[in-house]
Amino acid sequence: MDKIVIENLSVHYDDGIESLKNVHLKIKEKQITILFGPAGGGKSTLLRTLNRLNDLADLKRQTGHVWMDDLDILSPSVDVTALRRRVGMVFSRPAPLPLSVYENIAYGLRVAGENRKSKLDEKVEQALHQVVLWDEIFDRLKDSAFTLSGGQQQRLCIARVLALEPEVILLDEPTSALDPIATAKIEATMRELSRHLTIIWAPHSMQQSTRMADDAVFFLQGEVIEAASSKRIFMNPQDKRTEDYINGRFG
Amino acid sequence: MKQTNFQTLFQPEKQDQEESPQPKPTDSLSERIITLLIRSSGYLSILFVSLICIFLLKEGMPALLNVPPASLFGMTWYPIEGYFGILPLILGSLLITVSAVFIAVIFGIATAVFMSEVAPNWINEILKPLVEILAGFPSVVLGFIGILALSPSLRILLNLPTGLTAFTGALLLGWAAIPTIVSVSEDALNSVPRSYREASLALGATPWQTIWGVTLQAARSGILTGVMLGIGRVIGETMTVMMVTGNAPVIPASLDALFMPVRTMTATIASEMGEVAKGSTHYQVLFLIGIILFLFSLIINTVVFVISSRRLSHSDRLLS
Amino acid sequence: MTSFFTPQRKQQAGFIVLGIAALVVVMPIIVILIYVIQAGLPALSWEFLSTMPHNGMREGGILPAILGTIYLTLCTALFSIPPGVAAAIYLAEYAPDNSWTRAIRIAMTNLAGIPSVVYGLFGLGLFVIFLQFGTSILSASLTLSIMTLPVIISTAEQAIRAVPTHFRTVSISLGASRWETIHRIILPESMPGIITGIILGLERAAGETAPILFTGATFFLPRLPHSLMDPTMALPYHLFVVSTQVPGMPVKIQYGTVLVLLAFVLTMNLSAAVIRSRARARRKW
Repeated sequence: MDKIVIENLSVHYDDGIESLKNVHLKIKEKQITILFGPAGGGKSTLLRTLNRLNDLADLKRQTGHVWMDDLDILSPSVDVTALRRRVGMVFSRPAPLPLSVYENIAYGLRVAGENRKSKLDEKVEQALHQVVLWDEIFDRLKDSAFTLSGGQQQRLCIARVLALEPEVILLDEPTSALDPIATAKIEATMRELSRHLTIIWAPHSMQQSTRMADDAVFFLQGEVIEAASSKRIFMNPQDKRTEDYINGRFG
Repeated sequence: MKQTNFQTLFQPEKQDQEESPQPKPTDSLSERIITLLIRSSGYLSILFVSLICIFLLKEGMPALLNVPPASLFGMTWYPIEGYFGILPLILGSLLITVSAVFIAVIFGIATAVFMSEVAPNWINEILKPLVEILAGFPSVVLGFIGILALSPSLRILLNLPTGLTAFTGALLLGWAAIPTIVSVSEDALNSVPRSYREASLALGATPWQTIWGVTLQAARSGILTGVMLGIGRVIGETMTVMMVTGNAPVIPASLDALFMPVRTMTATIASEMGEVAKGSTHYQVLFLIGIILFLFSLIINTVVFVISSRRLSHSDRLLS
Repeated sequence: MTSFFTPQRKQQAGFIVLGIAALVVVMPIIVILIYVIQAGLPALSWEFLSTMPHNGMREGGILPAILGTIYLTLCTALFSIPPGVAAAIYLAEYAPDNSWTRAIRIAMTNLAGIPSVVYGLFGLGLFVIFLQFGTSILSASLTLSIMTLPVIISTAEQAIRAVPTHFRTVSISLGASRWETIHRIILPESMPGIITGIILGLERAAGETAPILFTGATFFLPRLPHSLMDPTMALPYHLFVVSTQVPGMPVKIQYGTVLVLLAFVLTMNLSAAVIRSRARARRKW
C-alpha cells in the first residue's frame, strides 16, 4: 500500500535554482525507502517538502501534488502544524533544543496542547524505550540535553519525534556526525520502527543505503532517475547513471 | 555605549546559511493579535523619528517668519534685546566639536589599537571595564568634575582669566567620547580576519607595520563609523558644556578663542528654555536651534548608516 | 648601514606610545572614582539618603532626588521595555529584507543619535504642551523611554539573533507555530542579553538631565511627588543644581550627590556585566 504519492512535483527557489523537476514517486507504507544520489540532487528538498518545512525557505514556485492517504499535503488549506506531527523529521546534526532531556521529548506534546504530567511522563518513557535510551538516561531526565553524547542526542531527537506518534519519519543524513557504534544503534532502531512506520531516509553513504533500503530512489540534479526495490536497483540498475553512481564512478 | 550595539543598529550580520523560519499562519486568534502587536512595534522607530521631526518643525518654523534672516544669521545672540543671531552658537558648537573630536580620535583610536592588537589579555581585563565605566558617566558628573577640578587647574596652568573655556569643554567631551570610538573601533579591528595579519607577518613585516599597513586599513570603515558616532555624541552634549564652557555667546574669531568662553547650541537651549514664555519668539528660535541640531545629527547618522551597510557588503565580497 | 631606528625599535616605541595613550585615557577614571568616594563618603549618612533638603538645599538630605530618579527609571522601564522587546522580535524574526526594514533601521540609528536636549524639546512639544500632560513624571519618562528605545531594540535584537537558527527549524518541525517557538525557546534563551540591554538603556536614562529639564524635573519640591502628573526632582538635575545654582553650597553635599548618582549608575553597569558573563558561562550551545 502506498503511503505517499508524489505527482509532478517541481520546486523552484528564489535564486533560480530548480531543486526538483517533475518528480513522480510512490512511497510504500511501513518500510524504509532510501533516497540516494550525489549532493544537490534534491533529496533534502523532497524531504522538506513532505513536512512543509520548505515553506520556510524562499520558494518561488512549487507545483504538483503530494498525496498522503487522502490529503494533498501541499494544499494551502492544510494545517501544517498538525501535518508536522504526523510527518516527523530527524536532522543531520543532532539538534537538541536548549531544554532538559524530558522537556525535549515533551516539547511537541506540549505544543500540541498536552500538558498533563501523567500523560507526558508516560509518553516520554515510551519514546525513550523505543530508541533504547531509557536504561541509559532514566536518571538524567532533568539534565540538559547537551550533556548527552552525540549518539545519545540523536536518539533523543528520534524519541522526540516518536513521542508525537507520527505515521512517517523523514531522516536527512541522520548518522553523518556519529561514530559507527552509535550509527549501528540508530540503524537497528529504525529497522525495528519500520515495522509500524513509513520511513524515508536520505543516507550519507552508499553503504548505508544498501544496508537499510527496502526500496530505493536515485536522485540526480532534481530528477528521479530510477526507483525500485533495493534488490533490483542495487543488483541490477536499469539506468547507466544509477549504475555509475552505485559503483562510485562519480559522486 | 556597549560593544556591537551600533553594528546591529545599522545592519545585523546574516547568521548561518539556514533559512529563517516564516511559516504560513494557521494561527489561533491570540497568536494573530500578538503577531499584530509585534509587527506594529517594529515600525515604532519610524513613527517616533517622524513625530520628533513634526514637533520640532511645528514649534520652530514660525521663528523663520518672526525673525528676519539678517538678524537670525547675525553675529549677536542677545535675546532680551531681540538679537537672535545664532551664528555664534553654531560656531561655538563647531569649535568645541572639532577640537573634542580631534582629541577623541587620537586617543580613542590609539587606545582601541592598543587594546585590540598590542595589550596582553590581562591588561584588557582591566582596561575594558574601565572604559565601560567611563561610558557610563552621566554628563552632569563630567561637568561637575570639570568645574571642580579641570577648570581651576587649567586656569592656573595656562594662566587664563577663567578656566571655563572652549578648551575645557573640548578636553572633557573628547575624553567622554573616547569609549564610543574605542568600542566600535575595537570591534572593527577584532573582526579583521586573522589571515590578513598572518599574510603580512609572513612577508617579514613587524606587528607594528602590520597594524598600520594592513589591519587599520581593513578596519577603516568600522573605525570611521566609530568616529562619526563620536562626533554625534560630542555635538549632542549638553550638560557638560553648559557647566564648563563659560556660556558666553561670542563668535570665536581666532585661535585664542579656544581658550575663551564660548556658547554651544545645546547649552543655549538647555539654559534658556526654562525662562522663556511658551510661544514667544525666543521660544521659537530655541526650537529652531533644535531643528538645526536635529539636522546635524540626521546627516551624521545617515552617513554612519551608509558607511556601515557598505562595509558589510564590501566585506562579503572580500571574503568570497 | 642600518639606522638606529630599526623596525623593531620603532615598534617598541610605538607600542609604548599606544600604551601611554591608553593610560592617559584610563587613569583619570580611577583617580576620579577614588576622589569622589573619598570626598563623598563622609556625606553619606542615613539622614542624607532619607530626608528632605533644608535651607535652600544646603542642609539635609537628597531623598526627593533619589526617589525621583527611581520613579523616572521605573516608569521609563515600563514604557520602553514592552515595545522595545516587541520591536526587536519583529526585526529578528518577522521583518523581510526590503526597503521598509531598511527604513526602520535608518530611523533607529537616527533615534539613537539625536542629542538629548533635542529629546527634551520634543518632549516639551508633544507631551507637556500638545498632550497637556504638563511638567510631570509622565512627560519626562515618556520622553526618556523614546530615547531608550533604540538601545533596547538593538541589544535585544542582537541577543535574539544569537540564538542558533537550528532551534527554530527543529521547533517548527515538531509542530510549533512561530510565536510558540519564540516564547518557548527563543525568548528564554535570549533573555540574559535582552536584560543586559535593558539595564544599559535604563542606566543612560537615569543619568540624563537634558531630556527631563523641561519635561518633568524641577528645582525644588517641598513634598514628594504623589502621582505621575506631578513634577519631580531627580539626581542628575539635582547635581547640576547643587554644583552651579546655589551659592554657598557645602562641598560635602556636592560630593555626596555625585557619589550617590555614580553609585546608582555604576551598579546598573556592574549588574549588566555580571548578567552578561554569567549567561555566557552557562550557555550550553
